Amino acid sequence: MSSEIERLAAAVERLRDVHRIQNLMSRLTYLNEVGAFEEILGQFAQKTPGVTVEIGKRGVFEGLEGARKTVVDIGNLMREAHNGGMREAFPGAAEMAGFQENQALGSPMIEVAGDGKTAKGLWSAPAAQTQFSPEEGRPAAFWVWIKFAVDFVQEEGEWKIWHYHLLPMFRTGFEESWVESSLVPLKPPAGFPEPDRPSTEYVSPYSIYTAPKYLPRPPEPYETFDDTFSY
Amino acid sequence: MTSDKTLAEEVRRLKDVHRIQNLMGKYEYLHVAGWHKESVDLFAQHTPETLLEIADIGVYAGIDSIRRFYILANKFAEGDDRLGHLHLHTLTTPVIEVAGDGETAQGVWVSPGVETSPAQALWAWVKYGVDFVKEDGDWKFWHFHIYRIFMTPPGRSWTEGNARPPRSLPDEIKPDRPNTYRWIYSFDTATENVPAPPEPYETWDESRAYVK
Repeated sequence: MSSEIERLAAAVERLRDVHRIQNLMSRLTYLNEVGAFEEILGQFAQKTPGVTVEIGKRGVFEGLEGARKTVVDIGNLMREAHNGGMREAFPGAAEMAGFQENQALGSPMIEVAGDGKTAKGLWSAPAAQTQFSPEEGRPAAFWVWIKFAVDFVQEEGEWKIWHYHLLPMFRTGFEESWVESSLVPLKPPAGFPEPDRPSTEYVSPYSIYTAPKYLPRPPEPYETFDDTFSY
Repeated sequence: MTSDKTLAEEVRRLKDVHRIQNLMGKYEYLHVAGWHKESVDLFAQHTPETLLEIADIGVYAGIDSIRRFYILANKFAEGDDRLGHLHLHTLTTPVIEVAGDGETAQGVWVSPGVETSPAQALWAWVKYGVDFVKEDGDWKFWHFHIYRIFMTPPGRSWTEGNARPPRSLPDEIKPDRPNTYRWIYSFDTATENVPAPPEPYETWDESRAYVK
C-alpha cells in the first residue's frame, strides 16, 4: 500500500472516531433520559485503569466503582425519590410518571489523538428537567445547563469513557432567572456518596460573585495522551 | 491492507454523515426564515412512501400531501404577517447511522426551541426521528417524524399542562392518517425511549422506520 493510501486510511479512521464519539455521548443522554444507568455504566472503560467521574465541586470518584456510585446509584436515588413522592401525592401514578430529563448536547469540540488510542470532547448542554418536589407536592420543572468534559479511550476496538467530568453551570426553576436562583447554593441530593478525593479543576456554577472562566479548556489537537491534559 | 475501493467507501460514508447533518441544518434555517416551499424540496420527490408525521397532528403521505401541509399550514404567515413570528428549533445530540450499502440512513436529534407569533411565545422542545434516502445522488428526507417533548409559554411550567394544538384543522390541511405515536410531557405518563437512537445497519428494512 502506498504511503498516501496509508495516510488517507489513518485520516478516515480518525474521522470515523469523531462520529463514533459524538454518537456515544448522544446515546448516553438518550439512555439517561429513561434511566438505563447500567447500560451507561457499560459505556465506561471496563479494563483501563484510572476511570474517574468528577461532578462540579462534589469531588472525584475513582474507578468503575466510583462510576457506579455516581452514574447508577445517584441516578437511581433521584428516580426513587421522585417515585416515592409521586406514589404518596398521586396514588396509582405509573412508575416514573412525571419524571423527565432531556440534555441537549451542543457546541461539540472533539479531538482524537494522532495515535488513535484516546480522544477528548467538550459539550455545552442546555437541559430541561422535571422531578417531584417535596416542597410543592408535585413535579416541578427546571432549566439546567451543564458542561461535559470527557476523555475517551479505545478498548478492544470500541470507544469507552475514561474521565467523565460534569460541570453544572446553573439549575433554576422554570419561572426563575438563574441570577436569582444562584443566590441559593445548589445542594446535592440526600444520600450523595462521599468522593474519593477533592475536585480538581473546579468551575463555579453561575454566580453574581464570580467571573466567567475559559474552563474546561477546549481540547486541542494532540498526538498521544501524554501530550495533553486530563479532564 | 486497505484497498482504494474500501477507503473510497469509508470516505463516502463519512461525507454522508456530514451531508445529513447539513441537510437537517438547512431544514431548520429554512424553517426559521419561513421558506416553507423550499423545505418541501428537501423531501424525497419520487421515492415511494415519503412520509411526514407531526406530533399532535398526524401523518402526511406522499410528496404532494407534504407540500400541501407546508404551504397551506403556513399561509397565515406570509409577507408582512410574518412580523413577530419566530420558530427556532436547535439541532442537538445527534445520532446518525448510514447504512452499509449507502442507500439509506437514520438520525435522531433533541431540539430545544421556541415557537413565536405576536400573539404567543412558547418554549417548544421536540425530538426528530428521520429516515433518509438517496435520490439521484442527494440525500433526502424519506420518513420525517417530529415528536413533542413539551410546549409551554414562558412563566408557566410544563408540569401545569402544555399549550394545546389547534383543536381541528381546516380540511385542506388535514393529515392523511392519524399519528402512529402520541406523547407529550404530563406528570401521569413516563418517558419512553422513542425515537430510539439508530444502531449501525447494513440494508434497509421497514421495521426500523421512524414513521410506520
